[in-house]
Amino acid sequence: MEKKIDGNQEDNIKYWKKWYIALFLWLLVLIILFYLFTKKYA
Amino acid sequence: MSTIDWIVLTVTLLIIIIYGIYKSKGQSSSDSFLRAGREMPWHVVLLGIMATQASAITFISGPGQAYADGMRFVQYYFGLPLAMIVISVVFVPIFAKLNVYTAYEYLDQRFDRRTRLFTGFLFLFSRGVSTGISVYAPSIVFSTIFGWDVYLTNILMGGLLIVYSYTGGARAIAHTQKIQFGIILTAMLIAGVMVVYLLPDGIGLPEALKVAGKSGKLNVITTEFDLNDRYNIWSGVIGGFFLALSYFGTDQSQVGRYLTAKSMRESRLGLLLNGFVKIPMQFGILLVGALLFSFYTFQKQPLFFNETAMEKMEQIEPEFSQEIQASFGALAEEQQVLSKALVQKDISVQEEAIVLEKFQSNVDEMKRIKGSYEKKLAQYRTEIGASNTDTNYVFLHFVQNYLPVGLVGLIFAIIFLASWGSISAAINSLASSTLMDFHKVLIPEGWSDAKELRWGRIYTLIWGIFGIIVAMFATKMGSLIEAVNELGSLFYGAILGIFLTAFFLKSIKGKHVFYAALLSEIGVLIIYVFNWVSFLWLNVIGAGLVILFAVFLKMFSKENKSIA
Repeated sequence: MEKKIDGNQEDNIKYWKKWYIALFLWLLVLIILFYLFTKKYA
Repeated sequence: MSTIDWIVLTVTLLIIIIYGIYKSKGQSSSDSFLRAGREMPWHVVLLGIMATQASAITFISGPGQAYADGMRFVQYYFGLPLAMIVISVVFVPIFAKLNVYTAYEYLDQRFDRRTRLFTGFLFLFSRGVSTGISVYAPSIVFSTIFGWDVYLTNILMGGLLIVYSYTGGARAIAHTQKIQFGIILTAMLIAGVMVVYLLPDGIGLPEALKVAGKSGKLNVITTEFDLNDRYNIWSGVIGGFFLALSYFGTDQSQVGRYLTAKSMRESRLGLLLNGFVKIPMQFGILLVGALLFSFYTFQKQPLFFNETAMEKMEQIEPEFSQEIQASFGALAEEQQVLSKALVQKDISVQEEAIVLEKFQSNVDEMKRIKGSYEKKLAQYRTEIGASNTDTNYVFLHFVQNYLPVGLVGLIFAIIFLASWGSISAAINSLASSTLMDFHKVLIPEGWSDAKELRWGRIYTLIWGIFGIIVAMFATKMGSLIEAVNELGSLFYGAILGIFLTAFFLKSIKGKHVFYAALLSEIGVLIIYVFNWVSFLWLNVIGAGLVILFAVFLKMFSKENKSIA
């Protein structure tokens, strides 16, 4: 685990991992929604 | 433009300048001027990052891009969220731990001075020139529409922001960007709602989407793999990832934004939330363009949206202009009827198929006619003094001709605000890099905080004036402008390659990476000149070549041989 820098839990890897996974899933959801959107209207 | 619109435009711009000057108060240290004292919360960082990336062209050209080519441009941003993750994991902790003012400072510690100066030079050159283009691009659109003097418009577009950037530095820029971006998003949202609201009676959002879709404008995802195709899912995810990684991770105009954060947590939150909202925002801007296509189909589409260029063309080639306008006009009238038939609720399946076939063949024919008109315009480019495409004029044509009084002034104000947001961040970062990576490195003696602040201001002024001068020359550059727009991609790859080598290949030394970057840059320029691939791939190739050459040079270096 990385060292703490500013006294916050900011280098808590578990905490940030959740953010990274959420952002990755968000990208996947957007791509799927856009794909369905393209299929529906194009 | 009406008097009320002028008042709205002037008041909006004045509010920003006064607010910027107000936020400049108490500016007494270089840290405050260059990094906003490292006290910004995540939401200011987020809006700063977004306002820096979104130039005026994003808002005026985005809808026009979807109008002409459909919504597939959104794929260009697919790599961005992934890049935000990598920057949060790798780049942010390193910059925070070393407490740097610029990204290139790190390269001095990791490699050597030569690599820092070389990378800093690539940044100053590409960002300096592209800042001038950011001033020029909206200026030429404004001067064409209103008949304003383009040189005066350049000064308004690039000059007024210097007032608060000079006095308040990064702190004033961060606070004004917050307000600017809030106004921009609100105005764009209203414009989008107005497009739907102003559709003919009985036509709503579902009908407008149907017409846009059948005209090929809702092609958000395109999956064919083609290296020469600019926007498809592959170039978007892979090329877009490398472009975003280099832009947000190594371009000081962006790094400078998240260095203003009060902690690493705030930097990361700003970057990650940018990853969440950027794609939906671009989707929204492009959707406005696709809906505008439907709007104009129901209204009777004009052949070309830059009316000034059309008038000049009529004088140069009267016969050709009349003929082509007549044939396009006849098709546009037919499309009006066909589009209304297409969205009728009681249309049978067979009837719809017949109408659709005719509608789509008209779409193709109109595209062909417009293409031949644009080809002719290109021949008279110098006489007409404008681009032969009208992407930048579609949205503003709608604003000028259809939006109610007051809103027109607000939309024109956001063009200025968007320009100021990105240009002010750029000149602040150029000033930081010139001071920290060059001036203080080359003359290291006798620096005090007051002297740093004074020079920070002097460089802000110099780069601001430089941007305006480049914009003045840009009027004479003609078709070179498009090449300059791709300038970033020519250098970003090499810069990113240097940083990736620094982070991940610990055994590589400064001399290896320096020559590797030089060789990579030559390679990228050759590929660009011969037009072998679309520009998004240059970021991947540039970064890859630096790493490859650096490893290669290391393997064959004297030290390695002597160990063997």
